Amino acid sequence: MGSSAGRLTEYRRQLRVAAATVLAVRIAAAGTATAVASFVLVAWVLGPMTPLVWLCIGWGVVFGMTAGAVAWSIQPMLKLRGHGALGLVAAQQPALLSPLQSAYELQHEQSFSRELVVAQRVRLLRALDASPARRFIPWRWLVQPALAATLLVAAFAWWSLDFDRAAAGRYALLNAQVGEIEGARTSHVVARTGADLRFPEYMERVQEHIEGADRLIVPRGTAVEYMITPIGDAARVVVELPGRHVEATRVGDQFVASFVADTDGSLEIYVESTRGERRVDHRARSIQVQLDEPPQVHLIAPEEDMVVESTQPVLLQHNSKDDHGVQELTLIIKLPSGEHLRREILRPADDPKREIYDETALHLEEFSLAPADAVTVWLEAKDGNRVDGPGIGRSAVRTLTLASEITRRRDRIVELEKLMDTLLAALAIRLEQPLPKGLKQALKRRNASMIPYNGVMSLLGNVGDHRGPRTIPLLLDMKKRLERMHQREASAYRDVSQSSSRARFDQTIVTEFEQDVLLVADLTSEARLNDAAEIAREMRQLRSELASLIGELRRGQTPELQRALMAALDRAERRLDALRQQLREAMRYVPGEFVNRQSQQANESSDALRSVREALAAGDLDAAEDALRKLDQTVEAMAQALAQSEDSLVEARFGPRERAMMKATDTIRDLEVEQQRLADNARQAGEKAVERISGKETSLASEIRGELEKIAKEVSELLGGVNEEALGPYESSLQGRAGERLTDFQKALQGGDLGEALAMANRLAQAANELAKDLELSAMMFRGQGGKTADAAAQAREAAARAQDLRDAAQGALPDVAGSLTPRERQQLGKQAERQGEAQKATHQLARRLREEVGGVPVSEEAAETLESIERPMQRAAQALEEGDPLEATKQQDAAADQLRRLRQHLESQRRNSGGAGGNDKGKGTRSQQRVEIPAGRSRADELAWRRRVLDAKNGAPPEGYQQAVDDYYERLLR
Amino acid sequence: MKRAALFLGCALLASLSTSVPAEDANGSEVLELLEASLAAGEGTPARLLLQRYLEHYARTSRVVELEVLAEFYSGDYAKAAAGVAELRKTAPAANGLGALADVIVDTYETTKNYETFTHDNFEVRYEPGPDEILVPYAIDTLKAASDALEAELGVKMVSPVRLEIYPDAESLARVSTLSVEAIRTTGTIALCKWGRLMIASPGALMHGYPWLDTIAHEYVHLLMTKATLDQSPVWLQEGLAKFLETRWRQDEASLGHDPAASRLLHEAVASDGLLGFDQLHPSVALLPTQEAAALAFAQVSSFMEMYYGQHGSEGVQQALRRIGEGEDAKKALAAVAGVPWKTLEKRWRSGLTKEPKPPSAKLMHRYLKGEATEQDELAGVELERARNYVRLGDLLWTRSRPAAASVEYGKAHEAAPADPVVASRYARSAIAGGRPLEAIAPLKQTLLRYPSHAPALSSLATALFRISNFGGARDAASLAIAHNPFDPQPHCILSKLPLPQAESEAVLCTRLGGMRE
Repeated sequence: MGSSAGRLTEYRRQLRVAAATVLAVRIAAAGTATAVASFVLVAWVLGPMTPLVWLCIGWGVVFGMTAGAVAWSIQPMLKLRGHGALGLVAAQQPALLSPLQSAYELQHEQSFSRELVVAQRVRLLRALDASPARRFIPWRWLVQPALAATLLVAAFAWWSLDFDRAAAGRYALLNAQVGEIEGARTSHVVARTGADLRFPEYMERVQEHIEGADRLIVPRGTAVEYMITPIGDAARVVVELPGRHVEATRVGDQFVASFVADTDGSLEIYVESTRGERRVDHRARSIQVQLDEPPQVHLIAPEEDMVVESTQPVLLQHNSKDDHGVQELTLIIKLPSGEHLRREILRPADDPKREIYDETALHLEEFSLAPADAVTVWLEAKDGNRVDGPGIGRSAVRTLTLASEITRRRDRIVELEKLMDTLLAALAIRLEQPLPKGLKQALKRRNASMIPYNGVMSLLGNVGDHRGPRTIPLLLDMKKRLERMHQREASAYRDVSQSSSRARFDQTIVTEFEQDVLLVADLTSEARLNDAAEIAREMRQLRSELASLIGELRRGQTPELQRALMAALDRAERRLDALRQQLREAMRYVPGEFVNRQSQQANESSDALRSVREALAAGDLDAAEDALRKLDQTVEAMAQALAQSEDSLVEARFGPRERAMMKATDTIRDLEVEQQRLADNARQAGEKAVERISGKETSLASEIRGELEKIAKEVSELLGGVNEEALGPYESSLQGRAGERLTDFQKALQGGDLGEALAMANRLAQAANELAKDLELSAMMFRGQGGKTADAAAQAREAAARAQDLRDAAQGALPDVAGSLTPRERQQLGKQAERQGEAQKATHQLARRLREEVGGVPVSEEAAETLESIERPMQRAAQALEEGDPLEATKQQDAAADQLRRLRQHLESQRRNSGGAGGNDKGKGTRSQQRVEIPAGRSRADELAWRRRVLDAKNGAPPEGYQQAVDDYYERLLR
Repeated sequence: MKRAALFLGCALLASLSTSVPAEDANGSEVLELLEASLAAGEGTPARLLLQRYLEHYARTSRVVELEVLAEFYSGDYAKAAAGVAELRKTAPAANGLGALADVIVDTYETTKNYETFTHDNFEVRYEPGPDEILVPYAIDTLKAASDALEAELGVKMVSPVRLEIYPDAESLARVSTLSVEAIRTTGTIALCKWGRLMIASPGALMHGYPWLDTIAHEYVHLLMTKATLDQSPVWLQEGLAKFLETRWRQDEASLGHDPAASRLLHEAVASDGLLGFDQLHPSVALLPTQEAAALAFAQVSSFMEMYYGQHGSEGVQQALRRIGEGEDAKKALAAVAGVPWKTLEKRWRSGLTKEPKPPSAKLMHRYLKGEATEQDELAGVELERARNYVRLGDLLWTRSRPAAASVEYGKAHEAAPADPVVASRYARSAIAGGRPLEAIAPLKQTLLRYPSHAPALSSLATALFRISNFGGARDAASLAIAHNPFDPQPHCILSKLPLPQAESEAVLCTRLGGMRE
């Protein structure tokens, strides 16, 4: 509106708006203040328990007073109608009132000159430019004493709303419940609450007081004194808790309800007025009960289940915690019989502890466990909770299995499987990646393959105590072969040009790994079948135990007997489970023909065992014995079948090798005899020659004599140093004989009889050697108490070696033996040289044969190597014979014969399974009944001494893992 | 003759859903008819006849026996077992059922929890559990066999054709007169007796067996029993059944390809070691070895192949009709051929000598599941070197080194290229190593010699699928299922092909353990 008329109209509108705005503020302020003041007033008047009708009246008062205030406030608005708004201008600038009125009036006047009207208006507008509409806002309307007073009252009323009665009235006015209400009406009837808390004694906490106890969180069992301050004239207060209600008693202005916190839930307060009106307080309240957590128990060590030697202590490290203290800590040991042993670590009488860290040692030997039995252990801690009863915390359970031949057998199988896995990994690396031509890449591949190879070597470096005659020799041979091949292979990685050598070596190693894997797989199968057979044999023993227990049960039932029977049944069941598992595993590597029948028999045995248990449970001892007989039959059949299977498997897999070994041993024995014979021939020839020479030569150079005397003295000392306690009468006589020959030697030397001296030196060497051999043989069987037999054997061997030195020195002192030989003797020595050469050739061929594979298994690398080393003295002997030196020949031949003897004895002891009673041997009646032959030619005194030595050895600690085997062995030996 | 005529009339009328002519016959004739019906393996008409009989005559112990038999033949084992109990109670000494009474009770005990699936005129009974996956395949085979074989032999079954699948050899032994030992020795895993087909589940054997052809084989027996009123000798039964066992999946009758059997036959001819036809009596399952059983099958089936080739299905039907009328089988065949039996036999022997030498193939032993492992299968590899390489391959394979295993299997295959065990393991590792093409040639070579080698079929299906030869993969997978339906691999392959049954095959694939390679 750009015209002057429009601007004038706008001015008036602005005046109106300004006035209306002020007026609206006035109305709002007055209305609100009056409403608040009247509401609070009514709330004060009505209070908490107001009937509905009074509430309605109260609201009427509030609305009435508010309406009155609004009506009063709105009055100035009447003045703003028509040109009334101009009054606002006039109130401040009276001079403008008239022109303004004229201008408005002339706006609609048609009879006046239009120009004059406009001119008047323009003049007015110019005057208004200096007086804008905002200058005329009627603030005075607000500045009214009545309004101010009302606002003050309202502010006071608002502040007073927090007073209990006002607050209760406010709640009543704002939450009027219309219609029929079931139960008590909700009102604001409680001003405040508080609680005195008395905690359970065992917690040792001081009493607490809390204000505003609307959300109570307390330990279970806390005694609560709940204080309620009601609003108004309460006659009775009841606290409603989950499942019960507690009437509060008046204590001054308050009511107090006493209860023990035991359940979570809501807490409601009912207040009954003196008029009998009953209300429930509107505020939501709750009680939350904190349960006392049981102690936490951790078994820190051992971290997992263990296999433990009976004498080895098991250290159980444990840690227990409880927020209010552990009262009792117990170690629980569950025995195989199901019996629980409890060992107190912290007694209830001791002071409770918030945290316990302790160690407890346990010895399995005290539980009289049977082989492969296991105990389970755990800890149990109790707190002092007397509210709910003691909280019990339990640790994890650990199973401690008694180390026995059973677990050791299992360990050996695991070791073999681990070896096979590592061998396969080593093989796989070479197979998966073809050998690259380039040296760098080839080297990289080789380095990668060395990781599993080193693993294989590490496992083969500690082959343990595998039973059976072939496992350890085969594994040791394997180690030698692999080492040798890898060493050779390394030489092909020195320069680029050797790619064909690398390929050749790689192929050789792959082939070797392949053979080794198959070999270990076979050994594992054998070990599994052997273990199964052993279990079957154990089952026989268990069956006897069961039979005996059932027999006792017939005579009278006792709880101990029942427990022992159940334990024996459990053990039998566990062993059968283990047997089945072993057969299942065996089927992974061997055809079912070896294990199928046994699997079925194992199942039948399980059925029979179940029948025994059922019959015992039903108290039918006859049926139990019948079932036991059935068990006996199946176990017997199974044991026989397993022994047969093991034999069949061994025959199928190792038979050719075993036969080759036996043949080789026979050949070695022949070679030994031949070598001994050749040595005797040479010795005779040498002695004759020496005799001849000694007839001519009567004196020796003083240095030589001195040297011989010195050696003789050393021999004397060494012989004297042999522990006599380790010697039986037979060995003592040998020692005496050697001593006599030494004296003879010394006398002959002093007498200048060089031939006699040499003969005595020869006999001395023989006697000393015999003593050493006998003691070595004894030490091989048992090392003696504290190893004294072994030590004596070592001492005797040293004496024998020095006696040979003496013999050699004496021979060396003789001048030109060859020159004193007759032509016939020379010819004979030449023939002997030929025979010696043939023996060497046979030895060489045998070594080669032992390196060859028989039935896919190399026979014996170790034996082949030894034979190769024996070839050297044989060659030297042949050379000495050709050169006409019978003394040197004898020395070398003796050495060769001795080495052959040792090798034969070693191979024979392997065959006999020197590591303990062989798996095969035990299972067969015929073999197990073989008598141990006592060497003939021993006197009664010898025998007694020998028995004493056996007993001494028996008292000594056997090697780890051989307790049972050694005990069995000694028992049989002594019988 | 009268009995046969009566029975045939009865069967015909029953098949046309009309009343049995028992009303016109007297009591003893009805009982005769009933016995004839049982001899023909028809349980349903027997029951109808019995009902009619009992409307007019008393229920004597003889009738109770027939009642038991009728129930047994009809598959109502509960009633049959109850009848046996009744007989034992009333007349323990006069029980005319003999050992069959025990079989009836055992059959009831064995099968009382079995499920029954019925479709058209076919019933399949099986133990709930893994064997339920066999049912759809069995039904399809029964339908196809019914169409093809009834046309070939000119006989139709009136009673529902009931197939029972037993989960293991022990169950089969319990419900039959066979011993587990006999089953193990001869590899017999199915039989047809008492009006029903009985097979061991393919899951009862280590790698399954041609179980669908076996169903058809037993179906032939069932029809022949009816055609001849159970009067044909075992050699004829087995010869014809073997000859016709593949007819259900072929348009023309022809003898299935089995180089190992042909080889045995060839060697027997060369060494004059052929078995006499009558040596098969009373059952092939009672021959001393699997080799003897295989030779017997090869002989009689080749004879029937020659006979069928010369005289066709019409000639066979005529011969069966004569046998049914009581004529000796050899005479009946000779009469239809118009020559003396000696001439017929001579012709066959002379035909055998002219046969070319079949490829070298050994008889694959069937191992019962649980009684053998892969190690036993391995023991069948003749060459020790190959056997050792396979052992190494197996050890590497089980330790998740398929590439290394493949190298060892490759060496084994090189050492013994004709060995099916070696070839299938080599193929398996080649497929796992992502070289399916390498697997195909050895597998095909193996299957030429050993068409029933289930692992090779399964691997071939996989290899063909991997090289996208979907048609070939489908055929190989179907054949693999026809041998070992519990191998998930062929099901998984079929589930991935655009086939109507892909969805159900996918379900089976998942259920059996999912795709392997």
